[in-house]
Order: sequence, then C-alpha cells, then structure tokens
Amino acid sequence: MTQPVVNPYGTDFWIGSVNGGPPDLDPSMRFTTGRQLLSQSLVCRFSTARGTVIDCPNDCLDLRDLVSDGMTQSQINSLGGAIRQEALKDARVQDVQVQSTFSNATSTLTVTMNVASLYGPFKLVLAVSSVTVTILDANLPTSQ
Amino acid sequence: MSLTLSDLVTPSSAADILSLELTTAQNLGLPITSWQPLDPSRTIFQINGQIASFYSSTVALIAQGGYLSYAATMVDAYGNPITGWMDLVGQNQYNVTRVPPTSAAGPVSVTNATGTSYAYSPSSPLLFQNASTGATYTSTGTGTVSPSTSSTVQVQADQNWIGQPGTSGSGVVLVLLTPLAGVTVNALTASLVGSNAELNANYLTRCQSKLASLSPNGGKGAYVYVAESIPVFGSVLPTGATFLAPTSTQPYGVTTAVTRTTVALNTGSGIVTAYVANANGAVPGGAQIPISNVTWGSGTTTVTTSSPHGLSSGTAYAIISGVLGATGANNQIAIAPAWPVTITGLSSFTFAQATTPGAYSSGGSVEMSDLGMVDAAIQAQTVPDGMVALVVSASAAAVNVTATVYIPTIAGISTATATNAISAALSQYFASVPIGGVTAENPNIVPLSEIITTITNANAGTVSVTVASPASDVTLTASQVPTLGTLTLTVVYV
Repeated sequence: MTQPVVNPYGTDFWIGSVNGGPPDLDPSMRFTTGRQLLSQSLVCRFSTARGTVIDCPNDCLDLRDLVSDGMTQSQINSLGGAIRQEALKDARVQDVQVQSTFSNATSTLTVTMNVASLYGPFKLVLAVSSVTVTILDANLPTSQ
Repeated sequence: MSLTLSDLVTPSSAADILSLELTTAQNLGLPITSWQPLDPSRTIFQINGQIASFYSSTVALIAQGGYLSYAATMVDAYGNPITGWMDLVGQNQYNVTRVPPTSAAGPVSVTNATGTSYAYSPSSPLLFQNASTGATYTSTGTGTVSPSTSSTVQVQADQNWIGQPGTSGSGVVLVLLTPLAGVTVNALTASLVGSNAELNANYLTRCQSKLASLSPNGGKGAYVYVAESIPVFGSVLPTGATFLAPTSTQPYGVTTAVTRTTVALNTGSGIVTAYVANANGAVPGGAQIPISNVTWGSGTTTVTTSSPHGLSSGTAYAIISGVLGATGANNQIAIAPAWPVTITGLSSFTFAQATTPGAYSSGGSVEMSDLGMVDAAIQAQTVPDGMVALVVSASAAAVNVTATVYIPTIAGISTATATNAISAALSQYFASVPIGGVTAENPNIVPLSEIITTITNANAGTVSVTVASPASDVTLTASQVPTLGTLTLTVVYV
C-alpha cells in the first residue's frame, strides 16, 4: 500500500458527497490529505450533533439545526464566535475568522471561514440549509 | 495464543481494544498519530473498540455463566448482582432453583373498646399500613376482633411489598386502614420480616450443598440443602405453577422459608441434630409429636397429641404416620400428602375426613406445620438408614436495644421515620445472623459493632450512635437466633 507523504494534516479516508447524497466514505476507500482532509473534517464538525461522536463528546456544532430552528439577527451575529470556537478545537486550525450571513429568501446560512493552518491560510465557504452542509469554496489545489 | 479461564471471564475494555487496533494499524504503516477527532479512521476504530468490548463482555458473561462460583459473582455495569445466569446454571447443573422472596407476615394485636364484634375473612379482610415505609398488610384467614378485649390478627405483606421492603420491626404501630370504630392497633410484639429473593452467595452455597445431599454418609450440607429448599406456600414453582398445598410430587411446603440451618453431631450418641430457623426466628410447629388418641365423628377426625404440637390456633398442614388402629388417619394410607388441619388446642387438632379412619389403638406421630414439614423432608430425603436425626427449631433470643441516634436536622427525617427504619434494619440484620451467632473475638455472639453499624446505616446522614443496651456483644447458645426485642430509641437532631 502506497502511503501519502506525511504532512501536518495527516492522512485519512476521503469523505464527502457521493453521487449527490449525504457525506459518506468514498466507496473506493481512497485516501485524502492536506487542506481537503481538513476541509472535510470541518464540514463533519459543522454537520454533526454535539455529543454523538464516540470519542469527543464536547465537539461539533450542527449548523443545520440552527437553520432548521430559525435564528434572530442577534443570534446570526453571535454565531461567528461559536463557529470560531468550535473550529479551533481541531488542532490543525491555528486561527480562524468567521463571517456568517443568512438569506431569508433561500433559508440558507452562508459561513465564510478564513482559516490559518499549518499549510498556510485558505478560505472555506459553507452553505448551510436545514438539510445539508456543502462546501461552496475551499480554494483547494487541483491536486487535492 | 493460549487462552486461560481468567482471560475468558475478564472482559476487555474499549480502551484496551482500541490500543490493540492502533498497534496493529501502526505495524501496517498507517499514520495513526495524525488522525484527529472526527476523522473517519479514528472514529471507526473507536466504534470497533466499543463493539468489540460489548462482545467481550458477553463472552465473559457466557464464560462466567458456565461456572457456578463465577456466576455467583457476576455484576452488571452498575455493580448490581446479575441473577439470571446463576439461575440458569443452578437449575441446569444442580437442579436447584433460587428461593423466591417471601412476604413479611405475623401477628398484629388490636384492641376493641366497643361492644361490637368485627369479623374478617379473605373476602372481607382487615388492611393495615406502616405509616413510615408505606408497606401495606392484609389479614389472613378468618377471624373476629372480639368486643371489649384485645385480639390477634395474622397479617401478610401485600404483593407490592413482598421481600425486605415489607419488613416492620418490633414496636412499630401499624395503622388500621379498614375503618372499625373503637378499634386501635397495638405495637408489634414481634417483627414482621420479609426476605428478598435468595442472594447469589446463599444460592451458591445451597447448590454446592446439593452435592452433599447425594452423599450416602449424610453430609451436613445435605441437611442444609433439604431444609432450605422446601418451597413456600404461595410461591411459584420451577414448573411455573403456584404452590398452594402439598401434592404427591411436592409433598412438603412451609409458610415461611427456612433460611438458616446448622447441623450438630453428637459423637457419643451418634444422633444428628439439625437446628432450623426462618427470617422471623423460630420455625413454628412440631416434629414427630407423639399421638395419644384419634377419634372421628360427623366427617371430622380429631387428633390428640401427648405433648404440645407447637401451634395454638389457626390452620396448618400436618403429616400423620404410624397410627395403629385408626390407620386411615395415616397420610400414606389415606393417599394424601398432608392434612389441612385446624388447631383446636395446644395438643389437639382436627381435619375433615369423610369416613372413619378406624378405632385408635396406639402409636403414631404428627409432623405439624413448618417444623414438621422440614423434619419430614429431612427424614425422607437426607437421613441414611440406621441413622437418627432430630430436627429442632432454633429458639429466639430477644435482644432489647436502647440507643441514641444523632441525625442532622437538615436531613428532614422525622423521629417516627428514623425509628421505623432502625427497627426494620435491626430486624433484617438479626434475621441474617446464623443460628448460634457468629464467631469473632468470642464464639456464639451477635457483635455489638454490627448492631451499631446497622443503626448507623438505617438513616442516611446519621452522625453518631451510642448504644446503652446491649452494652457488649450478645452471647447466644448454639441453638439460638437473635430477634429484635424492645427497641428504645432516642433521636437527637444536630
């Protein structure tokens, strides 16, 4: 088995939407690493209910629940701090700046994270509906 | 890899299994140290570890369940004893079933200040309640609360209060729930003690004693096993049927389970004496009481014994044998496992019999009530040919307790509640003391330290306990069991 080059992001199975469905392991069990792995991990972090992951009971913030429940403007404004605090729980995230906007027309929360990681800064934009969390932009290199 | 029994009965934790998984993964060259929380591999390994741990626990339980002594020590994740496996191995390998819980039962004295007589019966019973514990009791049998005097009503804890929760200690005054004008309830003169289902440890001992019962030499364990395995009337038999009365297949039964047995061999005479006791102390009835006369008239047989048969009133089951002349009174000849008898005096009883048993000439003896049933079972199932065994009830030694208990005011425990809890706790403790007491710093004692501990633990938050009486360990004879006598309690709030 050929192992990927060791890097600060680690190496793990690729996880994401398969054929338009909800995020899942890639059927071919391929690996991923680098910024893509971190982006996928952050998507999982923001689409999983707190306390449901077996070894990290205090992690995760399911943004879909917030959208589903409905938010006031005040809650939307304060959401950035909560998202930042949650993202910083990932040891690979050195710092992150968060902006969030909510579209009443589409009932979609857009979260923009400027992430400082060991591989340098990158932008991660998530679109959150009451059902899905999708990556709009992770300015990933084509190799990833 | 060789697997030991210890390996089989020791479950692996999820952490142990995860560690093994990670070591294996690392040996395969996988980058395990880079896996972060929420990453798939790490989560999958954690889940696998958890699942394998569950399986490991199940395997450990199965392994333990195969061995009686291991099964007796099984506990669940919260440390509570597991009884199911023990029941399985006890029944399958030893053909011994766990003794079910029993209801607290005994006499309640009531005083009727009016000139009115109040009758009660199973269809119109008297209901009582312990105001502190909430335990409720119902009168058993048929009787009358006589006018202008005191009467004794036999009661039994209700179904919801079966076992230890139904215990009310000596001195407690029950509340009469059935409205009877002018009738008051007197303090209990004897504890009403209910027993929980047999503990794994006791069940283990009895299963092991079963092997002794197979011994042609009449091992001590055989007496213990037979005496403590007699089913209680009203309990559910292994067949699923409720045991209501002696039958040809289950000829022996008791009203209260025998819970304590000691066996002594007189090496001079060669006579074995088995002392038995139940949770209340003495086992009622009599063993092999000689019969002096049997008469019959109008469908009723009247039996007179040459010494007291152990009961003074009520009803019971009795087994008659050895009667000459009136041979129809002998259960074996009448093809009846036991007679349901009515006690008419200390040395007499009657039972219904359609035809005359014959004219009495001589001989005969009766096994009366619980003690008689135990004796009959032991004689039939344990005593080897040529041996003589006597079955004797342990005698109750009432222990009067005078104590001062210091309880925090903030605990919010009333004096009555504290007293009742201590009374019940002491009754339960005394019911667990072996016949003849324990041997510690001295033989045959009820340790004072245990009495103090029992009082201390009866009410949560108890700060201190001083006991004026007994002033030291209580000494018993080899055939005595302690029961709670008069409890004099002072509750001081601090």
